[in-house]
Amino acid sequence: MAEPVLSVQNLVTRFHTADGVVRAVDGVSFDLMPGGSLGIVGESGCGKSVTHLSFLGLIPQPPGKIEGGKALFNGRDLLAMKPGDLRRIRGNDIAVIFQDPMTSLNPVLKISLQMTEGLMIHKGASRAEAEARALELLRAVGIPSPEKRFHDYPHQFSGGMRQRVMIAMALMCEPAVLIADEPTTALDVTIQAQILELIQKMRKEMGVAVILITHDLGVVASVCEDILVMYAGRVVESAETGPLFARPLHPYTFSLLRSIPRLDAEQKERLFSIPGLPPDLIHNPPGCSFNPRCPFAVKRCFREEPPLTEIEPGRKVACWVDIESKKERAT
Amino acid sequence: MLRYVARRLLTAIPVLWIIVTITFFMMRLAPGGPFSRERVMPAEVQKMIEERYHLDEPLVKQYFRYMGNLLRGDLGPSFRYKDRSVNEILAAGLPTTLQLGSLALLFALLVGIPAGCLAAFRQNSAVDYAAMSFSMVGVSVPNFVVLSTLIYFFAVKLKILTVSGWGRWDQMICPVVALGLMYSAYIARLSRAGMLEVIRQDFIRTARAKGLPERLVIIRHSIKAGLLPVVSFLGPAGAAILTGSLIIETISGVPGIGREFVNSALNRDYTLTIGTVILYSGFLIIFNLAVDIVYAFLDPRIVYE
Amino acid sequence: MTNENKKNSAAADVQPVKGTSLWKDAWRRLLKNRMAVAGGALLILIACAAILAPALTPYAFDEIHLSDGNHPPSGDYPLGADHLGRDLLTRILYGGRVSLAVGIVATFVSIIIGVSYGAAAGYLGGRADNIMMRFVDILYGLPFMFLVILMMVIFHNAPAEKKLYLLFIGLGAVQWLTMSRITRGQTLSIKTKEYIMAARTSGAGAFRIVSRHVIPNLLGPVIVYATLTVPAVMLEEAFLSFLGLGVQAPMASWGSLASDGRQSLDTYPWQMIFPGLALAITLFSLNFLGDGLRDALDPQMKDQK
Repeated sequence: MAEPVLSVQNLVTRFHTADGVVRAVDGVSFDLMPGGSLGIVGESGCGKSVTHLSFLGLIPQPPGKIEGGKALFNGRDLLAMKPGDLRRIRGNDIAVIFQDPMTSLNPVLKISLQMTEGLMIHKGASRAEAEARALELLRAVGIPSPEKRFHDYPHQFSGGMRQRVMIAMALMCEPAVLIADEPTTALDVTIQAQILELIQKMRKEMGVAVILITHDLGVVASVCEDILVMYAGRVVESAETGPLFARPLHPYTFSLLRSIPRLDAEQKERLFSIPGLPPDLIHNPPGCSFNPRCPFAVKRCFREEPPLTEIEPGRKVACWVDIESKKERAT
Repeated sequence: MLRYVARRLLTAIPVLWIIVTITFFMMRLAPGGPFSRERVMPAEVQKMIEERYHLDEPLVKQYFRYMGNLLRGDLGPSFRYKDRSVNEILAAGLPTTLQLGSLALLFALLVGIPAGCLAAFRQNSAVDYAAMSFSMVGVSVPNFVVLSTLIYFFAVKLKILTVSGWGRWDQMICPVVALGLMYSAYIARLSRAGMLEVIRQDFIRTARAKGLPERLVIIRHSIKAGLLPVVSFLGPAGAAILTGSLIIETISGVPGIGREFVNSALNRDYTLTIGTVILYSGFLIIFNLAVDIVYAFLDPRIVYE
Repeated sequence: MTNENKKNSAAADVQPVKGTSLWKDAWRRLLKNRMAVAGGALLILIACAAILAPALTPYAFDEIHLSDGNHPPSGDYPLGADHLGRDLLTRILYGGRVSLAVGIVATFVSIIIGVSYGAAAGYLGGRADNIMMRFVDILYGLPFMFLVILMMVIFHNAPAEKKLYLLFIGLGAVQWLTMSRITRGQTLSIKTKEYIMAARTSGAGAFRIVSRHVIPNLLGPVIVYATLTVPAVMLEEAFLSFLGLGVQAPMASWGSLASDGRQSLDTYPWQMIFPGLALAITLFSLNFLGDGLRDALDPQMKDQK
């Protein structure tokens, strides 16, 4: 079997704030195969973004602190690297697309400059080479007549176009890993599908491995081969996409799936929403973090934290309850 | 853009007209006249002088005469300085005032921007507290106190600098620093706030995620956006520096137009007072326009129709 | 964490504009700010000293002891005496009354003009708003202080009391522009809120809506800006008095005392330093208090100028 291009093992990131220690990422592990695609799903504030910002060295320190774990990129531990070496990997080998294309591009600099500067820094490309590459990518991501738009400023583009520019910019250095952090959340629904398609297309054409971070299970379903479900800074379930949708094993995954609106549902049926709020990560309840909101919780869930256990090949879940047997009662 | 500039200059004309008119009538309605302080003159002499300066005509006629001359660029003769026209006096003083003002502004920028940026990048450090305490002092101490203190220590006690005059560096330091200090403090606060605002923006995270060296993240991605508030402050700062130069010129014996303004107003030298006001207003209008153009140049989101 | 921050600011958005919890919260935040508390305490102290001046000093403020002319600081004269042997401490305490009064009254004038103008513009909206704010833009570009100086020059020989009123009005008129902008912005945003709609549908008139609903909601920003206007006005008063155009003998303000002291700066420096210091400390305290109030009343405005 091939080696993973990125292997995160037991990552722990905490924020030391005036109100207490926020356990933002609490022992997250996953592998990403070359050219593979992994979806990380969870509610906002569950640590999805902090995970990748941590191993890229992009969390503000202090108050943030990475307190454990490894993040092996092609066998080299990103967390143990000197800042300068990590910088040479950022944007070059691992590129990121952020959520809001309105604010993620510098409003006072031209698109041409923002797109080319990475390639010129990382690969020592000349301006002309970098511009040629940028134009080629802008064309590939579907910007009409890129030569004309190349020297425009971000505010002259629509939201969807800006996100296309962000994607093209991220691909400039032909990275091995592309992290898309909620790339469609700030966009119109019609544009969302186009952007997801584009990410798919670029992944296939360039062979870049993709991590897609989202709170929307519907988004990952169409793009990712594997899915990681996070809750309160921890991984609660990981599986291939098909089996996860067919047979969710963690109550949280189960609830997430039920809260997706379905066209084939009866009109009368109210859309399910998970009761309660996610924990505040400072005062985690004892036992399983999900216990206050879990319809299946048993006594053990309030005492002991369930470990992430492999229960079938390729499937891991952190839950004490055999959810299959109790599903009837919940519905 | 050209149309915008033309329109701004056109709207400046009524503004200048209002200013001139207000100043003209304020001066004329004030008690006292240019010659009333001098010893009593024989009636014929008085009459001759008044005829020469058209002071015997009705006020409205004088006003239209003045406006007519103004349109031809003639600010009239001075009432106090015999044989000198207002144009000559202002032309002699203007370079000095501009020199003082621009040096003070330059000083304010050169001290304020680095101090503010440094404070922002080392937020809550000793550097930050030092810079912000300095700026708090700067905005609280009146410029004449600063000037007097500087003169007392450096000119009177240490004898390194000269008490008054203009032209040599040892004469220029005290007035320039005294005039610029308060604005350097404002600029430091503004640039700190601007930079702090910018460095927590998403696009700075994008720049870091691209793997840019920290130097580029700051110089290329932060400074331009972070210093926009400083640019918009330059308009009011320019006006305030001009006003401040009145007092600084008066204390330091700098032969600029600020001193002429105060003296001419006290002496009821009507034409010279109006002339200085026109010059100051015109300068401010042009300066503000220039600042707005520079702003549009720096911030592509601003479009002047 | 960004998500947390977003949640917090979203929570701040939905807080009612007025409500005891907001003011209580602000008060708590203000008390946490040590510099603001120190500034406030110092101000109260200075104000009390100025008000209680007759009880604090054995001298009258115009009491002359010619034999003690230019007496250095000592037991009899804690801060020294001026060339006529008047006790400097006494004169500073009494001068503080004038300086503080000018600062407060002129700021009040600027609030009245600025708030009514801004609230009217914001409330009327549309074309009226456009024209009114365009007018403010134009005024921003004018050297207002020059007109105030001119006014003071013209009424140079007016009785001291009348000149004080002129100062109140003149300096207040210089400062109202920013106040009107702030008020307009607030009014525009308040106008669209539901409770205004409710008041309007229940048949309340424009005047009633503005006075009962809009103005109370403006209080926070106006208080903050007013606290920062007082030092600006005091600075301008000092500036005028220093030029000999403000408060006049026998009355004194810190500016005029500093001006008197400047004549003998090289021989009797305390005559300039102490009034200057009194002014600087007061402005310093006001600025700290104003900054603290701004941070406390509007946490989102923090780090902006």
